[in-house]
Amino acid sequence: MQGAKSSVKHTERKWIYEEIVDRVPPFSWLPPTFDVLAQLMLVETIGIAAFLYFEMPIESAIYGTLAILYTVVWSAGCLYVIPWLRRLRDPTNEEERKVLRAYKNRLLMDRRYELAAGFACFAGVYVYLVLNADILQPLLGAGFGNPLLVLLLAVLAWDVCYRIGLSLVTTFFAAKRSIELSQAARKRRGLKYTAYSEVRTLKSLDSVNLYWAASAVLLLPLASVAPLLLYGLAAFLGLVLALSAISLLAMETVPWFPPDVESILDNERFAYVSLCEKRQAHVTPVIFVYDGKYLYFGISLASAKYRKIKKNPNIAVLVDLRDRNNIMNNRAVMLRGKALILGEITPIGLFRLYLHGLWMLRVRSMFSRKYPRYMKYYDTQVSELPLAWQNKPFVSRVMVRVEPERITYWREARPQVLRV
Amino acid sequence: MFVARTHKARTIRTKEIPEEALRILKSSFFSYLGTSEPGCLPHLTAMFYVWHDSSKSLYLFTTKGSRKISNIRRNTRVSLTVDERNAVSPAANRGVMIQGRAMMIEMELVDEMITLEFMEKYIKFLDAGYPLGNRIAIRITPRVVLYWRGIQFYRWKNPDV
Repeated sequence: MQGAKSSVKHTERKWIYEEIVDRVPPFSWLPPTFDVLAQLMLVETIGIAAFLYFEMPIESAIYGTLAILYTVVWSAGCLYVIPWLRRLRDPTNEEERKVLRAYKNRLLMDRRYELAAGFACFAGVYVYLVLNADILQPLLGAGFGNPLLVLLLAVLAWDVCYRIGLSLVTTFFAAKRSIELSQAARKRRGLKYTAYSEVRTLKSLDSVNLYWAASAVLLLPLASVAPLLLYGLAAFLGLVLALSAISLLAMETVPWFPPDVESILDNERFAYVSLCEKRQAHVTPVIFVYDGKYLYFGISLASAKYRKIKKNPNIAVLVDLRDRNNIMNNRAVMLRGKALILGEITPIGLFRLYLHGLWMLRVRSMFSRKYPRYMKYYDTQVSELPLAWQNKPFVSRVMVRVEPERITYWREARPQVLRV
Repeated sequence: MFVARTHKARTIRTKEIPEEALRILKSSFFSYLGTSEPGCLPHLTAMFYVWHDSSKSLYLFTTKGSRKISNIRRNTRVSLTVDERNAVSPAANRGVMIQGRAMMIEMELVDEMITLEFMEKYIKFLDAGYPLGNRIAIRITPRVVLYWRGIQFYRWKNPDV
């Protein structure tokens, strides 16, 4: 019973392409990676046979091969993306969970959209080619008008159009999901959130849409035979790029942590940094800022922290809300992860400066907004302090960026581990 | 390259634990205990503590199943920071960092005076749902006590360890 249930679940979420690969004999015998190659071989053999039989000009062979190559490259992406989508874990925030579930269902269970988009694309191309049959005349040579060849062409055209339609649909759904997710994320409460690793996975899956669009460039020579096809392809590429950009921007606004954690990181003024060298722990207080993703603090080049981070970048940072009167109000967040030193004058430091320089300026201004008095102290007392403790970037101070890998949140003296 | 490394932090070595450091240890409320997991991965928790003056050691009380206990079982080298923070000027920030060995003691074997002192210090917390059962005490013997006031550092090394 259990097995039957899981197999039902397994067969439910499939794209038509996967279904074909699973059912039709030569493909169903092979592992998925070979399916793609087998598909390439099969279609290419038929194409070459037609090319030889009808004595077509050499361009048509090249165009045809490119079209087949497109379908194959696309399929490879498809095989990569679907297992990942199934593996996504659910957010703890109910609203975000609904958004992601609806997204997965639309993508994997509902065929209407992909078929409609593919069919619209196919119908457009088909009608256009039937009305302007003279475009095909030079390409097909002697075989022009042969019903078998028409069928072969129709199958190939459907294959290509279905994939174009599906890429368009998936990109559209991705953009829709990103916008809904960022809206749902704004309504988070307490410790409810979507683990950032899932957001990152979704983002990298979205880049597969771009990969599909990029693989459509293979169709450019074929589309260049008729201006309208070329415009159509350009419109497709433009649309995918625009939707992907919208999707990426919306995903960037999804916060990394649940609001309870964020409020501590935003409002508390002191953090404790723990480092480890030769199995000996080392704990010191620092001032810090949090930019929504990473935590930053400044250290002196003369400090023990700098020396220790250079040797072992593993770091734990604890930010807590203290209340001497009520234990229920005491909360703490510990972020564990890797520290990255920014602002060193070394080859790799200069490269990081090139990557993060503008953001470092922003972090610096966040520091002066959060700690105006500290910054004023460093500005006015500059001549009295020894150089090691002056707030001079590059000369005496560097910035440390902490990338959280694990979060622990304490409330009422009880720890709770959150996934990043 | 041309990074200025000649400017070392000035640290003054002292014969005794500085008076000021003892005052902070006695009067502060929260401490931060750093332990390390295997592979030298740091772990950090906020904790209640009492300073025991005559044995120059520090006592913490925690639950047996916690992560810090399992860390200390594997690696007794810990670090603990107690500080007074000042939001106005960094020059007024002062604090104490202790690096030393941690030792676990069953609750029944801990000196009663220390338990009483702990109860007295955190009386407000202990009756408000503070988990009392299944407890164990940690005693930290300092190897190094580092005290700082603004940018001035004082370091005391325990001659007995």
